[in-house]
Amino acid sequence: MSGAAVTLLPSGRQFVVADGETVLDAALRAGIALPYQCRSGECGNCRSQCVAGQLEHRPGSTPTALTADDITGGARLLCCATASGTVTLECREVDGIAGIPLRRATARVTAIERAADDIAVLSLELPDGQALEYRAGQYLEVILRDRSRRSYSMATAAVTGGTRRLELHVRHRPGGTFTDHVFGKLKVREMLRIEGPFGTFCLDDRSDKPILLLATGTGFAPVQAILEEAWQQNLQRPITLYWGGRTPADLYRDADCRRWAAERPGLRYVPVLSGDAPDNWDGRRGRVQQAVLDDHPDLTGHEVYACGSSAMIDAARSTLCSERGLPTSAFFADAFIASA
Amino acid sequence: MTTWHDVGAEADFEDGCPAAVEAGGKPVAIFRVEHELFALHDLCTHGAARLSDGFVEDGCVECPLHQGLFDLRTGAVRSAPLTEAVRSYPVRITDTGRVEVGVT
Repeated sequence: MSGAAVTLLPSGRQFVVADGETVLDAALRAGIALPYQCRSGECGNCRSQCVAGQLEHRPGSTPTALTADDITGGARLLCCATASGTVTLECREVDGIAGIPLRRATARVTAIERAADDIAVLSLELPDGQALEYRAGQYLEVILRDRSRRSYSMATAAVTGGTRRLELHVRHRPGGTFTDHVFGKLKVREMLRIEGPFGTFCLDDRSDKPILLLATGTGFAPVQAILEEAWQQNLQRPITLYWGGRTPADLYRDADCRRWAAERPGLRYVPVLSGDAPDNWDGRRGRVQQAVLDDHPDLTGHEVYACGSSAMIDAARSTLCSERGLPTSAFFADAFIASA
Repeated sequence: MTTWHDVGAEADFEDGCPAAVEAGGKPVAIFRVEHELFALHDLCTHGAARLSDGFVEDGCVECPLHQGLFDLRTGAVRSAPLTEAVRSYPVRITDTGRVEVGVT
């Protein structure tokens, strides 16, 4: 056999999936902007509903964002799924992503700021004439010498026509090839090889619902970009940012967030510490998703964008949807995979 | 006849950090690989890109625009889509630790 013919609802778009290829890769190759982020089954963004035909998670894949009941009910993660024969599936498509070219480039390190003991903020610059187009919330991959890749979200919004200045937030994971290099020998003017943009962790432009942004650790990076993009576009939707960490140092841009919240009437900022907080701590204590639960008896009319550890994302998705009525279609996530 | 042009101190050029300099009015990219320095004309022969913006690996520089490879030592083409070698210049280090590029 040679591939599968897939029809996408509700748009009616069609594309071909080659043998062994995931449905997501085939769709992206065909220029169809399906929602996805982690490409490894953890984030759940590429969830779809099989309407007809054979759509199966491939052996060895780990669609952990779905429950056994979800799968029995026909739900599939397209980053893990292969197709055969003729398949019809339901999946939303993302506005504003289709048509942004995927590019490989080299980027020069222009600054390395140590925002905390284990957090580096890298400023990168692309060569003349090689601006990168992307939407806030998307990420790039750094391609290492052994061809392995590391994913980092752009931490600032792009300007129209693309931007040559990129900012990445890197947490040190001792023992990891790339982050040991970043926290050891990486110097200003060094070149990095990158490819991007990837992912669809972007604000839904068609919605006017209030926005809750949840971040843990360097999950703050895409959230900062989303805030910048919202301000560029003069977005009128109210935004509340919940940023969680263990210690105050984990909230490495806490002062900026407090200033933005003071200056911008549409923005509320809620810092949350789960570890030892200092006696004079004026933020919240506990888990970031618990702070959201405490503040919102009803989330049926909200959208939630969560970026950080998969533990936080799994806990936020299950509690906010089951206990506060948040529609699963209004929960968007960017899960960290712990590669170093 | 080769004229030697001073382009900086040896310590200015580091592994992984190609540098754009000028020698005798020509744009030159300087690359360090461990203890050796190499100089290539700082313009790809294929697209409008500077090789000093390229990624250095396995003795080659990868053009940032289309990922074609040039040999650092000779300027020879090592991969598609390149077809034409890039000019390579001799490099020497003086007794006082200055780097000079030879242009004829």
